[in-house]
Amino acid sequence: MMMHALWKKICGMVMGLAGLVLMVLLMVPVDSQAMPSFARQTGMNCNSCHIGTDNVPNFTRTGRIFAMRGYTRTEVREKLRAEGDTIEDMPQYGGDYLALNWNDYFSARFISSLVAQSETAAGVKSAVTSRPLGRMAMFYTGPITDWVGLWTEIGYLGNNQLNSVTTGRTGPTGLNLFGYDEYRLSTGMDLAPGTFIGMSLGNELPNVVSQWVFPAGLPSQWNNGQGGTGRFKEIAAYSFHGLFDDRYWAQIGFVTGMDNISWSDGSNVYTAWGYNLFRETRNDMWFVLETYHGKDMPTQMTSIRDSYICPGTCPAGVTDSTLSISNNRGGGVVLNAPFVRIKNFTSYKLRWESSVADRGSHSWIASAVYHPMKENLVGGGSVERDLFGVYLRYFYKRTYGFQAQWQTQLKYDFTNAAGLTRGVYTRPAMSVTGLWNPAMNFSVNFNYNPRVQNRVFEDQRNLYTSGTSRSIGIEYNF
Amino acid sequence: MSIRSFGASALCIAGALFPVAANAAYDAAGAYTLRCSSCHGDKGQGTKGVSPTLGPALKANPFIVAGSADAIKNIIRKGRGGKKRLYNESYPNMPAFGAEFVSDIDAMVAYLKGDMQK
Repeated sequence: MMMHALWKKICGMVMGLAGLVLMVLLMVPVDSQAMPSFARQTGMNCNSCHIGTDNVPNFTRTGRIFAMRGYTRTEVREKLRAEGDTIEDMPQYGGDYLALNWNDYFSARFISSLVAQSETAAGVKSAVTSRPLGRMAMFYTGPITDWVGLWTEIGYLGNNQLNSVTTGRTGPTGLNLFGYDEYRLSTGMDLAPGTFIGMSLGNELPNVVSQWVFPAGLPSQWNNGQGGTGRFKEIAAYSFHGLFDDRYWAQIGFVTGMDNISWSDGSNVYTAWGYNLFRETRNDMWFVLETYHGKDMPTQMTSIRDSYICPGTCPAGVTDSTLSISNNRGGGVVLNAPFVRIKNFTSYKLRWESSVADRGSHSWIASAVYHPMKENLVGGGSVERDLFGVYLRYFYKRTYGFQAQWQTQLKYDFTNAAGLTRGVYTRPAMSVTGLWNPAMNFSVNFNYNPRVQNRVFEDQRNLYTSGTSRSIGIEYNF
Repeated sequence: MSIRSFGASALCIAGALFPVAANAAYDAAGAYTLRCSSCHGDKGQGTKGVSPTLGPALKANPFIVAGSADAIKNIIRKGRGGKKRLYNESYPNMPAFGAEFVSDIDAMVAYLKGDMQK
């Protein structure tokens, strides 16, 4: 018996020691050196274009310019071998592209996450839908002809669904899972060193051309979504743009909508004007003014009540008007708001961004956005909402990092057709995420959101409630 | 051991002992075109001035011309990033090129210091 206890003790010590060794090994900083096929197309590694690849990658200057230029580098067309040539006994494709072999064209990503949500102060503990297989997709970035580049991602997406924290509106979930296809065909032409013009056609907002859509943690009231989101929405976006003197960015984009059951019909116009300061990989900085106006947008009051899921009146038992795919506004309807639709809207964003890659052991993206928007409603009335947000993603040795985001509303007023104005109350939103990238194509993230909350009218502030959420996720690109 | 297998073994040993001779036909210029030119230019002129800029010029580059062969080999094999970056510009980090990508690194360095500089 004594021997048995001793044996158990020794086993326990060995197991503990092994666990400790494993933890130490995992904690030793290493330079990530994986190279998925996505990067093999250019011979560079992921870090050339991205600062962190988890979920939503942020961009170095190289990555941003590569996207702006349209994913083609026509100046290298002459440098590749003719069809049938061999180098080091490896048969080479002829032609004009950087791709090495056909199987280098495509890459895939797999994202998994689990989420939990606390009880709110009002005692609400909503069911939470986790997506262990949150996303699987094939994607490609690169040239497809001499002059045309393509970005596309096709797969399915099932973000974690935090139910409404509004008492009595916890609603069913499970509808936050959909297939999607994103694409953008781009072309460009060099006019002079550091100067090019281009155009693109795709099904995402034109701000993806310059990647101003990221970081995703910054406030955005533009909701034309992650392109091609199945049955819900499909947009067509045309962009004409250029980079001048390697530092001035100018862009105009036109967006048309279709199948927008709950949205106003019409089209929108997007413009962007950017100035690039420093222009170094280790020290890049942008100042950008974006504008977006038109007729096709869900409102900030009742964004999807009249959605495909609940066309007018929700089915029996479905009480949560936040039902939608991830392209809603994060449950962003205002409790007890009347059903309204946008007649037209105007908005802009003032953006500052600092992108630093490998300054010593440090890399980061820091950004701030001021983002006002005014909606004029069908039948009269308006919604005015001004947001300000900051974002920071930091990595040490590209391996250990964190991400923090915070945003607040400076103004949020609803005015009805009779001219009565009611303020909307909600507190600043924030979240913190721990990041660990043991390899460039594999990342682990731990997210904590201290305030999952609802939005209420100021005169109904007693209905305000909030809770917390936390999640763990992984992403693997190959 | 048969004469045939003895001969094969001898060839293997010879190949191992004299790898340079066995790799005499290495096409360093071709390997440069395949592995290096997209960033450093087909003639080593670099890609500064195109979008995005990917690598500095190697032709007339003082480090290539006057630097030690070992230092250049080290950069090819291990890449260059972080604190090891030399250029404070918008070039991305240089990836590492192992033996599977540049099998004869001596020939490659000789090409960079020789034919490319002509």
